[in-house]
Amino acid sequence: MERAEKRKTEPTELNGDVIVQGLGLVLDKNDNNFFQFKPSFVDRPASKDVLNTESLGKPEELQKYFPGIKLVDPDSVCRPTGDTTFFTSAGFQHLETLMRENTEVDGQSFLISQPVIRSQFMDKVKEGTSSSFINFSIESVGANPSEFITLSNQFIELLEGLNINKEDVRFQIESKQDKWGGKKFTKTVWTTYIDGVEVGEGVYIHDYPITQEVKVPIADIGFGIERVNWVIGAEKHYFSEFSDYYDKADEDTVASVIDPIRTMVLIAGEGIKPSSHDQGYRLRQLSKRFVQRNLVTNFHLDELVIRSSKFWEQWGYRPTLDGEELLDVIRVENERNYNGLFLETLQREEGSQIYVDINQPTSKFFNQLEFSLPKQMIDTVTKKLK
Amino acid sequence: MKKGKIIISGGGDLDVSSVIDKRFFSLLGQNSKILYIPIALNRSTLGYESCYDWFSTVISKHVGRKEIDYTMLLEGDVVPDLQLFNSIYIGGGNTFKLLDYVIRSGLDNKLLTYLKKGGIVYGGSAGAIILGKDIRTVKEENNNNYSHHKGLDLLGGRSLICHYNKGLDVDISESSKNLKTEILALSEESGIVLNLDGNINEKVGTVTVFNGENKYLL
Repeated sequence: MERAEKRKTEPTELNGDVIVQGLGLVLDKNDNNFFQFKPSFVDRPASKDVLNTESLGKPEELQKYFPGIKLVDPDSVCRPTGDTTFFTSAGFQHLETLMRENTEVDGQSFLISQPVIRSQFMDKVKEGTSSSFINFSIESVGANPSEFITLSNQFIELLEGLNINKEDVRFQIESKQDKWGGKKFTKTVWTTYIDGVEVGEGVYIHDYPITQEVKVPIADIGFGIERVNWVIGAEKHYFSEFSDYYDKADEDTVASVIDPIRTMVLIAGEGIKPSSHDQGYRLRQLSKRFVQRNLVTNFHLDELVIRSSKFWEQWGYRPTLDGEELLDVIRVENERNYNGLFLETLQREEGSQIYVDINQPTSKFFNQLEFSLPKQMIDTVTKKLK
Repeated sequence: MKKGKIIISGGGDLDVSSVIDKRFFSLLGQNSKILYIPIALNRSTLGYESCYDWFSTVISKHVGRKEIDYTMLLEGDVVPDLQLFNSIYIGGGNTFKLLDYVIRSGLDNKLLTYLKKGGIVYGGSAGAIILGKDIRTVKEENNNNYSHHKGLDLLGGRSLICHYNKGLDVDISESSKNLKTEILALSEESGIVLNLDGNINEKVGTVTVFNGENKYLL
């Protein structure tokens, strides 16, 4: 608050032209909806050393592009009751955590490699699109437009450090009204694309209302780690930790089977139990998708869980369950949902009206089924589910 | 021919629309899948995560021992085969934006076919109003020069207004005269269940009918 009071001139809405100038952009001659780098910028050498690694592999590698900004630990994926969403969906939600803890946010700048969940993609997963990913975010509360441009250019230097072809980069710029947790504000946004695939976003909010009386500007730049590594070709596959799985089926199928487990690992890892309510319901939905999609691929659950855990932990995620406990929660839920799928198929395909409790291990579920139904009927449904 | 059911909710938050929501979920079978359409809403800074949370909470409240799952349809998605779903739930927001999407995407005809085959369609607020004859009962929502105003006309030739209170009486009477349509005014705790012929089979709460100058309770 003190800082806000000291700020002599209240920042005004950021004009898109300032971004065009500040980032050295010109209108794309082939498509007026986009901007591209000026030829002089495309030809210039990278201003910093190219990253030593072939791909982005840990948060510390990214720090050198944003000097003086601290790297903070990621938030929990499952947010406490009363927050704006059940799950952390963007790195900037760390600001919500700070406000909840009554920390003064004005003047705070930080980098965060945040595992996030975007449930809207749960049924749209394909190679390059997932329901969870690492959202690396750069946040600066109180930043003026000039500081936002500086941060944006640091992001571009990072892309240069990854040896991207600058001719393949496009930007879209727009201003719009938005709201977060019931608070309304105006934001100016650049969205960047490489080879037509969205890889990152820079947002400048000039009037975020921390309270009814106090508004602060916020600079927020974020990008998905998996997406960047995939688009620049540093990793052949979007889920790079599962590269050897991609020869087992077409790449969209492989991604769609792996994705629910990757996301389940994040949720269940924080101690959430599957249920019909709140965060547990999302876990149940993910499990149902995995069970259905894995009927064809038959990927081994243990390996999916282990590799997913390793990936998230590499980016700072800290589960509260140990590996065995985590695997157990996911396995039990998957068995429950396989039982449910079996029973549903049995009723639909064979007209059976039998009731068997699905909340038990699949072996016991089948023992009960075999007690009441002809083996041939069970075998028929089993085959249909393979 | 087996015909579908239309459930109309007057809008409002979870607790307010609870009775008609409960009726909706009672129509669903043990294993049911819903297509949730929140397109009337604008994408927030957190994408559609809040929508996903909200609809999860609606389901949680009424699911009981049923296995209910859902998929969200967003602008830009390919409209799926509606027959894969046991119900379609059309949520609230900007009525004109929603109708524009429904017509552009061809969802209007698909919904009609779906209902004729026995499907269940739930409309809440904007999602309900587009099912009426004319959406200009909420003409003030047309903030983007949307050109479509003829609704899907699935409510027996009536138009609809939600979030009704008596302060709206003069405007609604005026709309009824101008649009030459009977208008059902649903307050937030109210709802109706209709069949595809537009016959109202069930009513929850208070539903007011405006026919020009005339006003009466359903």
